[in-house]
Amino acid sequence: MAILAQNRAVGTGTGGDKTPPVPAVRRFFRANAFGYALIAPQLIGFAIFGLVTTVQSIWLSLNSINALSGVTTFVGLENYVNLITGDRFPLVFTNTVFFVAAFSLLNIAVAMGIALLLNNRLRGVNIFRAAVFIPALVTMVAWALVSRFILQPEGLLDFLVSFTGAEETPWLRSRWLTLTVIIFVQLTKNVGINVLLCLAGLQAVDRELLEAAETDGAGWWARFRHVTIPQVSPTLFMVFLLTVVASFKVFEVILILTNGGPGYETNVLSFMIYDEAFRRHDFGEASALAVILLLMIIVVSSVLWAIRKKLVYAEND
Amino acid sequence: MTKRRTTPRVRIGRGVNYLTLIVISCVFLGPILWMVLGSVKSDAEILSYPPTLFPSEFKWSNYAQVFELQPFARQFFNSVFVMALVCALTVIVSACAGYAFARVKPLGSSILFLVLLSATFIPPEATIVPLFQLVTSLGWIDTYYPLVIITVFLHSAPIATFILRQAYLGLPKELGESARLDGASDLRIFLTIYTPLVRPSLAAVVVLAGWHSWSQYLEPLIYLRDTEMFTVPLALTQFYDPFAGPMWGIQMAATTLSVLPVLILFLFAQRHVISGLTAGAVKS
Amino acid sequence: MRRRIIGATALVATAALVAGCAGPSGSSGGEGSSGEPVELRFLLWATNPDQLALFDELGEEFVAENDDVSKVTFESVTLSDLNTLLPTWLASNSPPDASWLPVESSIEYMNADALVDLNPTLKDVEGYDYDDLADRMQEPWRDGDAQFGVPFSNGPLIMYYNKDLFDQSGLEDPSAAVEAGTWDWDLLREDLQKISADSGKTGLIFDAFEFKNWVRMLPLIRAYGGTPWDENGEECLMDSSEMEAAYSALHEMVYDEKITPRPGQQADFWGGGAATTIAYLGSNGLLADVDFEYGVVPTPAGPGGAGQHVGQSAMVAYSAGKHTDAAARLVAYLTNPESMRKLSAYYPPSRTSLLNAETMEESAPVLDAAQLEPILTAVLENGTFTPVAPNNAETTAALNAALDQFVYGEDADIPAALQQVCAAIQPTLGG
Repeated sequence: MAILAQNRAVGTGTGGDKTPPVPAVRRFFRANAFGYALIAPQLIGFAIFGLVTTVQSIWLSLNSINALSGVTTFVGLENYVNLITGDRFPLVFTNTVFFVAAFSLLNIAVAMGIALLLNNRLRGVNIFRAAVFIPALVTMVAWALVSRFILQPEGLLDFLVSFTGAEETPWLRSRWLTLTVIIFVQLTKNVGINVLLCLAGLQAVDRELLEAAETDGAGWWARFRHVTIPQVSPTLFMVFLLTVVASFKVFEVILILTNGGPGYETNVLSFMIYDEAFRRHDFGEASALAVILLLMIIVVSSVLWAIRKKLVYAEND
Repeated sequence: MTKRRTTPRVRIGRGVNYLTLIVISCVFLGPILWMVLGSVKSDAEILSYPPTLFPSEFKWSNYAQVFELQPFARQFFNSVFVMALVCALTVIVSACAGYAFARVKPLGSSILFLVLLSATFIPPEATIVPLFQLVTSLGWIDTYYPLVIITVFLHSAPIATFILRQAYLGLPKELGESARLDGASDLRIFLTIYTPLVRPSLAAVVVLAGWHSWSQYLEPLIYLRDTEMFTVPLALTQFYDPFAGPMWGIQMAATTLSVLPVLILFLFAQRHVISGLTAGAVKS
Repeated sequence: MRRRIIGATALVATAALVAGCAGPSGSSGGEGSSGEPVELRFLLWATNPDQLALFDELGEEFVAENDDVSKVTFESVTLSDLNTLLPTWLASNSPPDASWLPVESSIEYMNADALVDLNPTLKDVEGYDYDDLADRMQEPWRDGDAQFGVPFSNGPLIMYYNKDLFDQSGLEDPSAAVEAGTWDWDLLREDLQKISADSGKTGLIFDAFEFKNWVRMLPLIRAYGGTPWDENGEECLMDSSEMEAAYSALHEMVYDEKITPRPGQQADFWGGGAATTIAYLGSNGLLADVDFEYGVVPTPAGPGGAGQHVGQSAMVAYSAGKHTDAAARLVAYLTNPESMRKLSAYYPPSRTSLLNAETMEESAPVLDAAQLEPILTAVLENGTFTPVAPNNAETTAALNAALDQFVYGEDADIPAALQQVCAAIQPTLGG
């Protein structure tokens, strides 16, 4: 409290009254040194490795780059114009929006659903907790490789589906179905982490409040809606935000399952960056894509951040 | 949840609960089981249709091959080593920053926080070329510095700071104020009063950071050169013969080997991980 | 305060930018002034321990003979990783000193001045016997007098077959058909349909094709007389009638006759899951472990004649490397008559003195000279290398994507689809 009070004092003090400048500066440092010292390592590290390289990426996006010869020519916005007027970008952009929206919503719903199931005091519940979490221990590369065996034509899934008498399905060869399959593969691999986080949130829910509500005759849904949800909402929001941001970066699973194909039908922005940079050696266009992707992520996260007070109960900031 | 007679309704509910959990577990464990079984099959059997569940002939040589083709034990250790460093550094850096953003709030901290938060937005593919130039000029190629330091500052610590800020925010201000009246220093309040109370979030941070480091692929690919230095995800993609193509069985054996120790560790530590995540989270 | 922070950040950013951009134009070439021995890095995509051991051995010999080099490190990555890493490293001005490079990349790297002209070094080294290098194989790497790479591996794509499956269906052995001069795609497809019907196994696997690596389709394309673009790499010829015939044949084999895997389907020849596969000669070592009777033949002929596709890789040195002179000498050492003879145990060589069935037999321990003779004949008479595009990386990516999108689907209209393919890749070609 004392620090906060001083802070405010300094805050108004620098607002320009009669205080002599030197003591004000000294007072300012005395009040803030501890805070800056704590933040410094993180901020300096981020400035060097994040800000500087991002600025460089923006610069690269304004250049035509021959990666092999190292020749760089300034071309202004040409990379952006080429991208946006090209016929691949609209497709990839739509795919990205679909992937991010569907993946994030589905992920949070599934994570919360499983966490609720696991939150019951059942015998052997630890085994189920482990089961859900185990895929998260496998690297994405390995998970995608195994999934490919299961999903390929005449793979395990086709075999299982054949018992229902259904025709073989091109799991990895049709746009929306395949994007959904990719979402499923990515989700089963990673949702365990979110389940754990949700579970932690659920276990922190005030049991007395729940029992009081039950005594008052509130049903399962009412208790969930009016007691549980408000209390876990900060956790849920955090998990959702992290998932949204992460879903923009999906990569290995697309590389291994479809390679973005057929054509560009299952390509998303993060994969197209890789494609442009490392397959086509066009670092200029790749950087332009990276900037576009960065802007998208910033816009979406800012919107979520801005409306968090409406979503989150008890955000006491 | 005191002792109460189980009514039929509760029992049915419990049955449905179990059934759902079993089905879900199958979805999650199926591919793992498929992988473990595949690790002792021949490549031909892995690809056969209709698929076989159990190998007609156990091909244990897949496992021996893993160690013959790659220094896999060393590579596994490399991953663990990098992961441990990432976890430790993430906790230190993000606890400091998270606390400062939540409780100390030096002038301009809310803007700085937003700047920092933007770090989580930068996709790793986006800055790989400038980053690579930086890493080269620092002489960090084929070392673990970029895998630890860049991962922490760009990826794990910003998210961790965000999580820990929320955690510190959730604690009552009065704790620090009363300690201050007792003459405790800023640093002591931070380390001994508040930080023990955010243990569950610290556990979450460790899990997230470790998990992120464990599955990194593109960065090790770009920064490491010597197979002795490779990490597990990179090693897994090296079981590929230019003339024979992917060595499926060996790859699955390697994947199984990479999962088992972590799995055993998790099963032993699961109680601690879960309770760590939840202990003390109950607000007084 | 805030302004100062932003100012400082901008300053750091600018400094880093200047440093970063100054990079590529900076030091390149030269041995440096000091006499300190240097270390060389050589990048390749071998995974076989024996092959790597041979390279290490040759590297040590080179170090022993050259006082200014203290060490040669051979780093192995997969070919696709190599294609990812090289441009990144070159863009960051820190390439390896030398590497293997597939012929597809030759013009692109040469045009970018990324490679060292080896000609002076090769001619200067005693006992190198420059004239022994087979001219036809050097062609892609030469520009006038300059030579930017020395091919060390010239592997033909050949057909391996499972003799047991042919016998079980009562079919003539393919090598007999080769001798009789009737070995063509029509015959093969008839045979494979019978084998598939009888055994339920896959007929033909185009090794490593997977509907994303069009180069592996070249045996079929060449047999129909097709070529993806004109000789100068300027005009797309994917929509020619020859290409139409070749891709129609592929489409029929996949969807009508069902003798070759569908997109996304994986299959394995070496474990006995298929009747035939088209793979590089270098794959023959895998035959040692198979438990069926096998044989090898040249890939079938077609309306365009007997097209024998040959893949090629060369050793190159990078002009952005820090020790270009030592790197050039290393490449010369690794391709001198003595080294290439040793390497020919694994890689079909490019020296006239080594181009015979006996040397090839050495490189194919599982096969005998009689089996290899027809293949060598096919290579020498009809061998054609991979077509090279001036912007190989971009053209290849666009071509693979367009084929996948328009041509490989079950309901594709091949002639129209191939026109779409041309529309997609024409902008990437040189014209």
